[in-house]
Amino acid sequence: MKNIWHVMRNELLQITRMRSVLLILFIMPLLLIFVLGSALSSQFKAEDYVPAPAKLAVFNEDSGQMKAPLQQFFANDQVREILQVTEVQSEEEMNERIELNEVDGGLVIPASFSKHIMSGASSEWTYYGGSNTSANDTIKILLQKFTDQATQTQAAVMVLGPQAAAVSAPVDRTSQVVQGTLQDNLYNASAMEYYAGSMLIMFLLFSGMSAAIGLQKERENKTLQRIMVAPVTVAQALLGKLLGVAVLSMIQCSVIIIFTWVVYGVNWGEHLGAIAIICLCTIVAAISLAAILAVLFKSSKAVESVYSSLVTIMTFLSGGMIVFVGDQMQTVGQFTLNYWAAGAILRFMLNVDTSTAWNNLYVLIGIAVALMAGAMLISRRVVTLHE
Amino acid sequence: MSFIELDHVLKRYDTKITVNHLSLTIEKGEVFGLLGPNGAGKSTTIHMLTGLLPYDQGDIRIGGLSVKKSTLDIKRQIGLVPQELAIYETLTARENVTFFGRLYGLSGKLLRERVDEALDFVGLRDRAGDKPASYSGGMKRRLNIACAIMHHPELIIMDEPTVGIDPQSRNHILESIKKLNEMGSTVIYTSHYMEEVEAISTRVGIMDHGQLIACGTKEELLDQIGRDETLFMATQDMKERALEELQQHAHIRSVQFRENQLELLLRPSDTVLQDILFILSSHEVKITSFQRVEPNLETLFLSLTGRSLRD
Repeated sequence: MKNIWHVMRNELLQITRMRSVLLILFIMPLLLIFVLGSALSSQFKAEDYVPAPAKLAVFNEDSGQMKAPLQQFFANDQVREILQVTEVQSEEEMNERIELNEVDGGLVIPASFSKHIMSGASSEWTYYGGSNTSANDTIKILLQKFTDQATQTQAAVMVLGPQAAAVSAPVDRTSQVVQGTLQDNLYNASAMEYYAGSMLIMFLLFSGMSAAIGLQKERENKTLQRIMVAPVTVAQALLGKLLGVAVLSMIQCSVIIIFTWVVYGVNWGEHLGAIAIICLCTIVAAISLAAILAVLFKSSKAVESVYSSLVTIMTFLSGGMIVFVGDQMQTVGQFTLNYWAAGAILRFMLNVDTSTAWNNLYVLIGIAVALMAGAMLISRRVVTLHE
Repeated sequence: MSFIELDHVLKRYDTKITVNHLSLTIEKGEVFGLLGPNGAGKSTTIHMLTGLLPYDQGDIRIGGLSVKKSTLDIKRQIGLVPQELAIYETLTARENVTFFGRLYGLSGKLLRERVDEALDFVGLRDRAGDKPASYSGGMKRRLNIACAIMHHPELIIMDEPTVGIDPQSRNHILESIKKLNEMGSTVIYTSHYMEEVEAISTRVGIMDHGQLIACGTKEELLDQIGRDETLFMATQDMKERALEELQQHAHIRSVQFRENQLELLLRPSDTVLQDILFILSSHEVKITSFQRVEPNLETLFLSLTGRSLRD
């Protein structure tokens, strides 16, 4: 037991002497969470990204039956969040406002608009777009929603006669502007929360890489051989080294959680115990994977490149870097460790779908146990001498 | 009962036999030199002695205990100075020695004393707080030794500890080995530098192709090839008559002369050198330099295997 402690302490002492490693372990994740959380927040819930409403100048010469529904449409609260409408008195005033960038576009509604619609004849309004293309698109989409309804009214009039307009006109058009919800509850997290969870898992897996490289370097530098000459068993040496990395990973984990909570305002939720278990399982899986790779590959450089590629690919496939990787990729992502670990963490953080979160955790425990068993089976070979 | 006993030890990797039924005994207090060219099986033998490698047949006993059955007990008695530098570059010299000391169960005041003692012994006490990165190759080699001796092992195994270092550090290491032996440790020293082994060993074993091809004191081994010496001379104005007289001398076994270089194989005699000088001076042959080569283990190895130790 003492030997495990000595080897573990030595591992920690060595790692803390390597500034570059400390930088990667503690600064990089916090930096990445900030960068990804800020840059990709538009893919997450609205409170992260609120676009400025488009501004529309309307010169309405029509005083017919369609005027009131149009005013109701523009006055709707949800429409007003996206579109600010200003009535103008002339087409010249409208053009002037567009040129001065006071509005993003202008709409001219002719005096005969309602009359033509109600008689079933062809009718059109004219939209003048400004320089802001995204604002133009927003306005066009909203106007299209209204003209769709106008077309329905016209169709009713043509078939049933003018009295049909009264029936079809008063429509609740708020449904036209309801924002769609994203396909999974997970993405209701803010970008910071999402990336705090996924980056935590990714960097815990990366800490396993330092275990794999550490083991390989000990083998290359013959210090592992020297440890094995001392009265130390293979299990003690291996366990001591891996525990050193595990302790460091737990410290890294705590730093990420506390820092993102205090500085980035990430809410880690009420299930901190469950999150701690997820982190522990991820660490066990990572260091077990490290031990296996240390046996399979003979140089620390090979281990480094294989391990880092593996973690990066797993993180990408599980949606840890880009949220929507496509359905096929998402299916493949289910075979990654990150999928189960990050999925469980995010659900516990958001306190949604916790039964699925627990299921994810059980799968993660299974993966960790399987990898640990594999590592134990081949542990003897980790310290095998190659003459 | 000998301190170390190897009894028909066999080690194979796949189908290749690297140590072939090796039997050897080493007494307590000996400095045993293990000579052999690269690939002779020296390092494999050492790794089996230290419990790093399992052996396939036979048995190794140290202090009466089987390495196979009492691995941990035997490890406590051994200090290995590996061929490669096995030290942590990120730790200071003191931290390196302290870490390995802890693995041998040392702690507290005793550990501090032993670490100081070991660093003192290898002459690194003044640089104990420095990291090996700032050390010369020789200093790193000395630290490599300090990490192996701080627990006062009964058996110290040194696997080519002087590879690639300057003469000063080499001498320091060889002196250290003698001191450790005087302090009571049994030493096994492997090298393919014949002069080193000759200088410090009480007995020498020569390995080739996984087998012990000769074993004994230096004198015993040299008796196997006789005591003939070789004399090399660079000359000027050599005369035919002088060469004839040299060939007729009773203690000169052979005379070869090529491009002013004279090579004489001499039988042991107290007067032969005087006679040679007299013959050459009487024929006014000038001698510009000469070298007398005594029989050595290199010659023995050459005669036993037909190749040089460093091949």
